[in-house]
Amino acid sequence: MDSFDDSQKPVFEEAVSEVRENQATAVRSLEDSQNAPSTESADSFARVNRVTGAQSIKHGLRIGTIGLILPDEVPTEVQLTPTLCVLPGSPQWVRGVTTVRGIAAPIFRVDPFFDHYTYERGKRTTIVFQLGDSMAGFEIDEVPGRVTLSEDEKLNNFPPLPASIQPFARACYRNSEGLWLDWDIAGFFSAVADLSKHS
Amino acid sequence: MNIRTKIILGSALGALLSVAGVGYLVATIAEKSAAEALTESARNSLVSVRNEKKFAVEQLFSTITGQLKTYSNNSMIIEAMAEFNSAFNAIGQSSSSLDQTDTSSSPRDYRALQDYYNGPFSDQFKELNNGEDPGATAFFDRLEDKAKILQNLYIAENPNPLGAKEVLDAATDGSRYSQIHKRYHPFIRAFLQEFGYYDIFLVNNDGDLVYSVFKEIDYATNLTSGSFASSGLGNAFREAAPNSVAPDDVKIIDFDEYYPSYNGAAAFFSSPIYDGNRKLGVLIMQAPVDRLNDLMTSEQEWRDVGLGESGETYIVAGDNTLRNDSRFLIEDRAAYLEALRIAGEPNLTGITAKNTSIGLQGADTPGTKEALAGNAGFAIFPDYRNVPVLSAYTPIEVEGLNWALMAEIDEAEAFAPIATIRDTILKNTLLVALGTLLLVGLGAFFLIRSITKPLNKLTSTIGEVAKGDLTARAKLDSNDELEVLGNAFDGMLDDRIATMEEAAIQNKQLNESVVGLMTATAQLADRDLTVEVPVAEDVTGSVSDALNMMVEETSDVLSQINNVSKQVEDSVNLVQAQTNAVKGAADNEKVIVQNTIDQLEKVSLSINNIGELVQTVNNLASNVQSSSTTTADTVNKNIEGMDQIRETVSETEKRIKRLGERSQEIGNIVEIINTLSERTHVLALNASMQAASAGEAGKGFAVVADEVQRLSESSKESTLEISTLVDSIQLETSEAMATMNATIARVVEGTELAGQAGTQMTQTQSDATQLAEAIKRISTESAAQTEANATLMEQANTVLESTEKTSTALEQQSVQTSNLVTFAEKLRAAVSSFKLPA
Repeated sequence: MDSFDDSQKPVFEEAVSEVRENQATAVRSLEDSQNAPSTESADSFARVNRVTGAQSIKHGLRIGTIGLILPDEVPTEVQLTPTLCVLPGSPQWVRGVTTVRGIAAPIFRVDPFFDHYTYERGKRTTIVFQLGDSMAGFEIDEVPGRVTLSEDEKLNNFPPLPASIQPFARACYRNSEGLWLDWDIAGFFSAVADLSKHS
Repeated sequence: MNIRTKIILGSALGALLSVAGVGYLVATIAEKSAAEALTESARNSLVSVRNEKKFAVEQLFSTITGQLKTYSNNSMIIEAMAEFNSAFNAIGQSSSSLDQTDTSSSPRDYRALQDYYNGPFSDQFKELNNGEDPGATAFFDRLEDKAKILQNLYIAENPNPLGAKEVLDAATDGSRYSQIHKRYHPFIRAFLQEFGYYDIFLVNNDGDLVYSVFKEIDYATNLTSGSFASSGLGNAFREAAPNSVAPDDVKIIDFDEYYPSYNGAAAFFSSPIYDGNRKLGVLIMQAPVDRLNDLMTSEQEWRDVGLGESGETYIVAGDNTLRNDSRFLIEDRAAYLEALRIAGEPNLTGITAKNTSIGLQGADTPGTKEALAGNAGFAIFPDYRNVPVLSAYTPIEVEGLNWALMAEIDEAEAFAPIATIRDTILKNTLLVALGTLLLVGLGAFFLIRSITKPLNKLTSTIGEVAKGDLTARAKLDSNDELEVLGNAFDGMLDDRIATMEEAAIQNKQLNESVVGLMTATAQLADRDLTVEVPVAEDVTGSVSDALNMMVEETSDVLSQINNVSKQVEDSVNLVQAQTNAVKGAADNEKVIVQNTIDQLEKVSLSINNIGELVQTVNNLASNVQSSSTTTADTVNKNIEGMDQIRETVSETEKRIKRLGERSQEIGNIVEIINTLSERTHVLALNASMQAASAGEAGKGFAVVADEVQRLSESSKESTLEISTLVDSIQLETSEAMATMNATIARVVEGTELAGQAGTQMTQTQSDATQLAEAIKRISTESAAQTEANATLMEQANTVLESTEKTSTALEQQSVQTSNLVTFAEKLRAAVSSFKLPA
């Protein structure tokens, strides 16, 4: 598994700090929206809760022992065998660039960001997220699936998480399938982009 | 012993020997073939079970070591180790209630803990160890101060009962240790429950057991100097403690009695915990013996995995003791213990008291020796109960352990079908023998009856004739040689009686003639030469004529008689002498002829007996020839049947092979369907996610996407099931082809054996035919000899009769010659006294 070297850590931590500020702003917005019941929340999970009642059905993706809830507001697409164009001089964890309906999307590996996670052997599948006008994605072992969560399963305190992921965790749930994170995917990709620029 | 008994006994003995021989041959071949087939079948089954269990055991240990390796490198465990160590060392040094605890507290402060040792712990120990006293007070007295503080807080004052101490997240003393315990205990406990471990321990570099999930009495003790330093847990710590042990190394301590777990069998897995290059301590997992026991005993469903009524799998460690419970202890404890008592098991008392085989039951057999030496194989030998078993054994390849895995089944159960086959063949052979005996007995009875009945009739006829009934006749009508003999006997009686009657008539006529002759002679005796003698037509006629002529001539010649009577007397005397000589020779000849006839009668009787015996042997030879022909036909049909079986099996093998090829094609098609299903699944997933991002507008489309996704998942599951079925078909096909090939080889072998039997039967048939022909020639020669002997007898009788007649005539001649001398003398005297006619 590839990992960051010591020179890359300050860059990533800087990016994480920036994201944390954005996250704090988002949390404040969320609290404001929760205080105003008739107002639509920016939190996608809250929006689903209102629709389905006590339980909500989401799309989720498991990476090792951690499950990531895919935000409904971010258009997401799975590609089985994309054609990747390798970028010369890029870090080893950047796999290359593919095109999705004419839009170039960088693809990278996530094992450096998840402790003790290793990709399984065999063919790789790619998940691509549309963030505004741009797209980005990473390789996955398993395709996303349906996951049902309830407020009763929400954890008050976060369990120990990988350091690279913890800043982007907005909420944490534990059900029979394990741990699920409602994560800030835009912030995560922003930090990854900054990291790749300085690598 | 008469002829009837001899023939019946001979026929019965021959039939019994034939049936017994064929039965023994068939039983021997069938038993050998069945034994080979059953051994091969049991070998395949046991090897399959052995390999499956070996894979499962190695997989179990691989999983445990993998989890321990990953968990010891987990950041949470690293942080937990560091923080538990820090908090443990701070006990009695900070401001919290726990941290302020005076480590020199009097024993009185730990009365609740002492009550736990002597109460619930001791009670549970006794219950699980057949009432054995654990001596808990001694362990309590040896507790270190920190161990007493923590055990009092997390065991004695823990409101949860024994066996549920892990439920407590943290004590309420507010100490730093309890805060750390509250933070990490739920996650480590969840890990333990998720993967079914017995306990998980964190041990610092000094050997202090700073954390355990279940809080047994080893909790907070020191593993280098405490009560459990020499236990399996202590050994696990020492194995992983040295700095030379790498972060990814895992050490394994084999199952052994572990006192804190009530002397239950426990194995330990340990791995060092590093934070970068700094070693913090050791993570130890206590392995559950129940999981290994359930795996090896197939959760007590031995019959469902093909181990029948007496099969089992078990693990033997390097100390030659079992690592899982014996099936026989579980299913029939009393019989198992009795078998061990007879076999002289040294740990019988321990097994009986603790009701387990683990670590107690010895197993030092040829199979365990081979497997522990690193060799896998299959053999038959007595197991640890001293009962012969079929055993497939193999070493288990787990680093740090020297284990052997045995898959066995009792020889009696594996070979039980052979006894059934043998009983069936013997039963059928006995029935055939009895049937054959009955048929042969009936045949011999009627055969002998057809011979003895005419003989009895002939014997009774001879008896009646001997008593004087000359009209008695045999009159046999058996249409065989005996009838010919009876008719000859009747003819002989008729001839003999006719001869006797004719002789009587001739005697009567002769008497009458002699009376007439005597009358005339009496007149002549009165010297009346005028008398005329009556002439009869018999032999006396000529005498009468002679007398008449003599009377006539006497007168003429009396004168001459005186002259010649002297000469006559002399001549007659010479004749008399010659006659006596001839008579003596005739008498000698008569004796010789009589002796010859006696010898011929004995020879005739012997030849008759030989003829009867030859006839009997001829019939038996015909029966043997017929039986050998029938047997040869049966063997030839058997060979044809086996050829047909071989062709059928060969054809079946080809069809099964084609079936395997078809299933391979199905597998290829399933793979294509699977790929399509996967693509459909991803397409539906993308549609579903797009619909979700579209919000309310995408709801309708999301329903369609979900349905498509379910269809693709259903299709994927179906293809997976089909793929599994195809794999099973190919596996079964492969096994069936192997079985077919083995069957063909056996059929070929059987055909060759039957062919040899057919050749032998053909040779036997040829010999029987030659024997029958030789006996037939003997019979013919014997009949010709009997006939020649009869002719010789007839001729000898004729000679005897002639000799007797000659002797009689010579006697008469002698008498008459004597009379003639007398007469001549008297004649001369009388002539002189006769008054002759003028």
